[in-house]
Amino acid sequence: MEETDIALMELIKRGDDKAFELLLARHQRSVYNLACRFLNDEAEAEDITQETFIRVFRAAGTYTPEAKFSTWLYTIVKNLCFNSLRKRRSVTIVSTEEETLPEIPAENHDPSEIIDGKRLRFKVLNAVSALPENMRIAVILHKFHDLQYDEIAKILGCSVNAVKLRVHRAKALLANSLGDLHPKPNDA
Amino acid sequence: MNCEWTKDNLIACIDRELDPSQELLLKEHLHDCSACRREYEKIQIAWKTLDCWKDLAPPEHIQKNILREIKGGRKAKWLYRMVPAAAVLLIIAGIGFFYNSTDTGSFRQFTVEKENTPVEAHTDISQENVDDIIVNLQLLREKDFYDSLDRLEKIDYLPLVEDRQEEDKKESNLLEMHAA
Amino acid sequence: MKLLFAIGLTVFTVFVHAGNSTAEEQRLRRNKVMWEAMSPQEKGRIIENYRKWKEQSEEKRRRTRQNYENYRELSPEEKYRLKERYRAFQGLDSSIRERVNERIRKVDMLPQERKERLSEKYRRMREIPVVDRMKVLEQSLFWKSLSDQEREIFKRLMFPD
Repeated sequence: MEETDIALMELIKRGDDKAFELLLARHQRSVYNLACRFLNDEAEAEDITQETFIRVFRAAGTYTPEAKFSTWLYTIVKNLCFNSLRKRRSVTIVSTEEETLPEIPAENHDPSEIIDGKRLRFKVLNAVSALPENMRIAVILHKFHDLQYDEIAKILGCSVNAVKLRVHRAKALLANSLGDLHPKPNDA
Repeated sequence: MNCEWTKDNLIACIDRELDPSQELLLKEHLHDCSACRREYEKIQIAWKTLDCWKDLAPPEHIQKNILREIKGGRKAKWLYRMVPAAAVLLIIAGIGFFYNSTDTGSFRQFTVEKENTPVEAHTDISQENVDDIIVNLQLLREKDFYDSLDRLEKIDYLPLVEDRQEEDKKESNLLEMHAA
Repeated sequence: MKLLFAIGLTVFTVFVHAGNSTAEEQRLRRNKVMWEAMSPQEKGRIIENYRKWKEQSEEKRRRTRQNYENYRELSPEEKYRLKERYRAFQGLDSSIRERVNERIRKVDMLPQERKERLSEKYRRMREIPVVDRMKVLEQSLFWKSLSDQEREIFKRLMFPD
């Protein structure tokens, strides 16, 4: 039977490294993608992913499960992402943050498919990146991590209504930038 | 049922937040009003389009980095506990270090395990070079890209340059004709 | 005095090792871990790049380093655009790449003051939406001088998005 995240944290508290590796394998992808989408920067997302799990490990000794593990985990990621944004804004000289470098994709796709897919992805990336940060994080957590409003509210430290409002406003903004891209769907 | 109310509640309808009766009224309005129906579709299209933004697989080295960092942290805790005993041994080493070393200021002095001995046997590269690579790792990983970056940026200037040159040529031709 | 200095140095060393490191040290440590985690093939590639790097002139190395520093300052959208442009450029036939390089050399030959005026004009152009910028480009003498094939190439290079 698969251990729950809270059970794994208990094991980590007692010094079980395998439990930590399991937790890492389970959540690494979602943490990385949350940071990636929010910051639109893969290199920064790598740093944040590493920092998140290092903090999880260091906090294992004092961790008490007051909420879902994922809520706590995403709160750490959110805080690190917002710190990163603040640092970006305040940097006027070259920062010490390092970045990974561009990779040439594999050559096994139809080039026209890649261009169209990439162009669309670029527009989506831009549209989401253009959202104000509080809306952006709410949208990413709701759309890409399937979180309900109540859990998002705990992560963001605001009310459920505030989350609802942010997501609604974000949808309206996204409709303006992305709503004309495809042929119309069938009626709901 | 008017368009203003409908537009204000389109998203609530999509998210199933309206009362059944309100939802019914709204959908009836959409049936009759193409402008509101278009707005409704735009919202749905935009939300659906986000699906094209697929997850990325995190690079493999992230996991290795995290595990190494944690093991390094454990070592640090151990060091803190052993400081009193280690300090005595290290005082003796420190005196010897102070008298023998010629450069005590560099961080690399404390991280390099061997000095100038080949560490990558198959590539025959010294520890000093490995340290240099580590300092410049990001740049070296994509050296070709950074080498060509200033050239790539100049592509944007081409229409502005060539047009200006044509204009200059025309101008000087005109001046010559005038002088003649 | 020397004994006191040695004690101080030792204690300092111990605590430096224990993790109170600067951001630069953290960056180096992270790089070291990344390097050790790399496959032999990747290491070989980077060592080869390092050798080429060492063979370059001081001026060339300075320019590449400057490019790297400038790139880090760009917005994510600009970074993506340049990555795509590099990918498109690398995908070109070598003879076509040479033709593009030839045109780029014209920019290098301009006097400094002209380059500065161009930078200003270029900055203003970037504020215009892509669709309108495309229209301006199509009206230019530069565009009219290109063959159909060259136009496709430059369109991909200038507007990778």
